[in-house]
Amino acid sequence: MIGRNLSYYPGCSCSKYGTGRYYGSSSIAVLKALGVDIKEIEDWNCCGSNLYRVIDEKRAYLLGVRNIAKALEMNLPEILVLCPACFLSLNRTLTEVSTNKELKNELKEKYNVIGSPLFSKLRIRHIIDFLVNDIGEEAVKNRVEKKLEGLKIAAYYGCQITRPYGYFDDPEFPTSLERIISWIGGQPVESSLKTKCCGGMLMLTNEKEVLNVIEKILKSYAKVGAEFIVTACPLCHLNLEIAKTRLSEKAGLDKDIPIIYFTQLIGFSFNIPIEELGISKAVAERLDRKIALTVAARGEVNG
Amino acid sequence: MLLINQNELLAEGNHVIRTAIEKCIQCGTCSASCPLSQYMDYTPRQIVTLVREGLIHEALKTKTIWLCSTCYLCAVRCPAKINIGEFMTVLKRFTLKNGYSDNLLYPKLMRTYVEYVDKYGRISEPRLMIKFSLKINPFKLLKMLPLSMKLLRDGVLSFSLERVQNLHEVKA
Ligand code: SF4
Ligand code: SF4
Repeated sequence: MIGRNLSYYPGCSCSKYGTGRYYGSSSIAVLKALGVDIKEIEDWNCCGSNLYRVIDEKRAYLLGVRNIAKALEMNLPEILVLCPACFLSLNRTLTEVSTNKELKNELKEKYNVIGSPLFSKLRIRHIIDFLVNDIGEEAVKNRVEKKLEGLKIAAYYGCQITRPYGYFDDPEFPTSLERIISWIGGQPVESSLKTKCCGGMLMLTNEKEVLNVIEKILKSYAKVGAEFIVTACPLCHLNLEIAKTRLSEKAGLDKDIPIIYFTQLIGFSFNIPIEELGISKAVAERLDRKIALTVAARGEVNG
Repeated sequence: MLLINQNELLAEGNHVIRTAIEKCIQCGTCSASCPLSQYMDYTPRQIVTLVREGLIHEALKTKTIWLCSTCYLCAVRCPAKINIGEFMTVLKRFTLKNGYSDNLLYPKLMRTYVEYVDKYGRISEPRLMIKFSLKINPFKLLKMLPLSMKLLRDGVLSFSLERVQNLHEVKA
């Protein structure tokens, strides 16, 4: 996979000081280990998210477009994104600018690159899509140093990775993360609520309702025997962390059930130092202990 | 109170509002799919009815539109291919424009967010949460303390913020 170049849009959450910073750092480390070079878009700004779009739609697109223009100036036809909300809003901006002639003409004057041939080729890629469809099974498997044997891992996708557009997987029952989990040796377990919304920003305004929704989600994870939960969205991640301390026991889950980004888990199986991945010692020990137990149990059966 | 009619709403979000008015078969799939519908005063299907009947003012006053988290489960399931999540977004924007939701929490959150983006080009989630909490209920911050300590220990929480260098480009 050597020689693949993409520009990288971290977005506020996954950047240096964001709550999803380890989603960012672990993704960069994993891609590097796979020989992929990503270059951060210089001086990027807010993606112009759904929140902004409610207040001022046009300006939300203008915010999004500045990032797109900066990526194009780097002469790279693909932008890699981690945060599902950024992924959705950059894609929406791209669609809007491509189809709205008036807006496009206005923007061409501001950014030359908007009229360039590269613009029509530009794709916004989510890291899950890139790992599953471009890097692929063999390259990932080849890089695994520590198989996550015996680990029952459940993925929580949240809503906006695949909706509303379903760019790279089924909008309701995607399976990309389960495939990745099995490539690194884990045993994927699936909750039927894996793409149910976590409530997002409503956690700040309607806490009670949102906690009720998350309780249902956590129960469904307990039902399928999840021992580790992996996430792919900084906001879902934060909400699950908030809810976990209060609700896991009620939902029938271990109160310390580790919730980590799927890229942290991949990095762990690649033997990337846990400091770089942002995995705590306690979680790393838990992962190691579980793997050791499985290996020992298998030894007894075979011996 | 302003009297708002369908045409004004159509001007705001022409395509999605028109599709909903013309194509909805009132099957209720959106309401059944919505993770938050049980807490809404009107279900998503009923909001379509209100708008279709021209009861725009009633639709804009509902709690429903502010409980929509734009998760788009309704959108991918609707047999008439109506994007109800987007429909709600248009209603939200229209409500704000007509200025009768100033005391609701969610609009306050959005405004705080927009202020940050306009000022720095980016946001810091912890700072946004604090500023928002101070605006609405400072005691909420105390409640968040235990979790904040945990996140601080895990090295996840930071109050630093990198601003955009060429801010004039963002502002223009
Ligand atoms: S799912 Fe679609 S057709 Fe059915 S009630 Fe909702 S908007 Fe109408
Ligand atoms: S997009 Fe809004 S209305 Fe539709 S299912 Fe999600 S929360 Fe409910």
